[in-house]
Amino acid sequence: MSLAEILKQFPPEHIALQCGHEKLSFGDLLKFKDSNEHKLYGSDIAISISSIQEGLKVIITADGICKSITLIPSSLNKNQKLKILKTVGSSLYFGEDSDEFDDIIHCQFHKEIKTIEKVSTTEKKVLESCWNLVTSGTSGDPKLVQHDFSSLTRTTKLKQGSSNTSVGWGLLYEYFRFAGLQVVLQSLHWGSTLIAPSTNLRLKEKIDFLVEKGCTHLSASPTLWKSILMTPGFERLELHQITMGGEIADQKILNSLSKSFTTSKITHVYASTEAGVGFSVQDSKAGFPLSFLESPPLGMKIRVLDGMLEVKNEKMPLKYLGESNSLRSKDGWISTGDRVNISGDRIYFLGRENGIINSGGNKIHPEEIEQLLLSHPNVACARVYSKKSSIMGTLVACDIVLDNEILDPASQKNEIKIFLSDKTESYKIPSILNFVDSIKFSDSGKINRS
Amino acid sequence: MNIEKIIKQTFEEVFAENNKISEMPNLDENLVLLESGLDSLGFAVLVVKLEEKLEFDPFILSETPYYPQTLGEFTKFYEDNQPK
Repeated sequence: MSLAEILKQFPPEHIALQCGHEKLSFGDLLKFKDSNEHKLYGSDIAISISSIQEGLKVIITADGICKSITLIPSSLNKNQKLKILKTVGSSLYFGEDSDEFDDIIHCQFHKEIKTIEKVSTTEKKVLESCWNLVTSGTSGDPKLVQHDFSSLTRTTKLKQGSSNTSVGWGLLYEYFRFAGLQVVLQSLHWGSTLIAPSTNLRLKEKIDFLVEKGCTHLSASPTLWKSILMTPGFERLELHQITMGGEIADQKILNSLSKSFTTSKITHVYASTEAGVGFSVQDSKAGFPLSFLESPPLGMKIRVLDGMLEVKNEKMPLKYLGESNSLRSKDGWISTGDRVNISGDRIYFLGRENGIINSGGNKIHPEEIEQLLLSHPNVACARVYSKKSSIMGTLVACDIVLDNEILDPASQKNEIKIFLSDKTESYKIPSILNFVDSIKFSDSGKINRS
Repeated sequence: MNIEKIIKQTFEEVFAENNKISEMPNLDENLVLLESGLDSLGFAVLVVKLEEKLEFDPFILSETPYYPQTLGEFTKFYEDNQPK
């Protein structure tokens, strides 16, 4: 079933998206599709639109008539975007930055569907669109993971009945990433209202917006939930469902949420862009029951091998698009890179293997940041590592040996952060910078990151 | 050891390293932490730096989970959970 077919089941006047002062009803979205879909028949489209109302219109228009839909984070740079367009073979690109691109073979750049003049000559055909999502992969470069609609919506069960129209799903994630897309699809599937505060608001203003618009269901990372609890006025959120994902949900945050939102169900989800949603845990306890190994609740098989969590999902993509190495091992299992510990009848998460840092749900590769730091004129040597934090799980920290003596360390630290912010995403910038005299290397000459 | 003094001093350090836009707020007890110009990341850094100086982290030690909203609550949380 395509997204449009799902939308048709709900009252057309019901609000599907509430964003800033703008509202879009289910009928508005379907009307937009009807008048624009002929421009997209059979295309491979790429969407890099930061505004959710514009992005959602294109997604709903495209699903079921385009061969593929690729969601590209608008924060990626031009070269990264071009590489993705080439890998996928996109024929149409929609993005606020479309003017910055010169047409390349087989791909046209547009700000929105409206500006397409030449209409596709292909006839309407109902297709099952492929969805390509971007993840940071295992080496720092953006990687593409292909899903079909059924694998994306495996857990977004269709809820029947009129009561769901009173549900308001709050969106605090970017809609074009896996976690955000899950919230969007869930809300559309239920016929609920998606409440999306502008991304440039401060957290307090976002919470005010969610309260004002009647948010009842909210999904966020454990780090973000802690920030919500620290924001005055959060108690006004009348939540029925709290969902947590992206990082380890520790017992303290689970207890705090149970105490603060006594009438809400609390679920923590184990998912990744590559493997999709693995399982969800609803008993408000950290970790997950050992019994999941025997009877996986959502069908994705789980096992623990040498202290590492592995999953097996027949629907899972075999490899990253444009790459030859398979994601799965010969027997079909994929290592998640998450270390776990079995204690009694429970399995607990310990952290990531191989030095990858998970900070606030984002994965960071120390080597990539070390290379960027070394390109700074004053940096002689750099070591990037993870630092445990009781607030954010893990922070990115670095030790730096400077080439020259500096008089004002605070302003030098600031200057290095600004230097990095021109070159990489903000979540990859070390939040703790220390200037040191020397950096220890292991016997094999590698930087000691522990 | 004057916890309040160390907290204020460390707050100023972290603020100077992490904030390029707004001015240093007045560090009185009613200051709302996440409205002070420090974001949640800056706040996490503050807690890590305080652990280096004070050698304890009340967010780990405290048995009851608590997320203070104001600087006054934050300071009291450190004072109350100081290892004896």
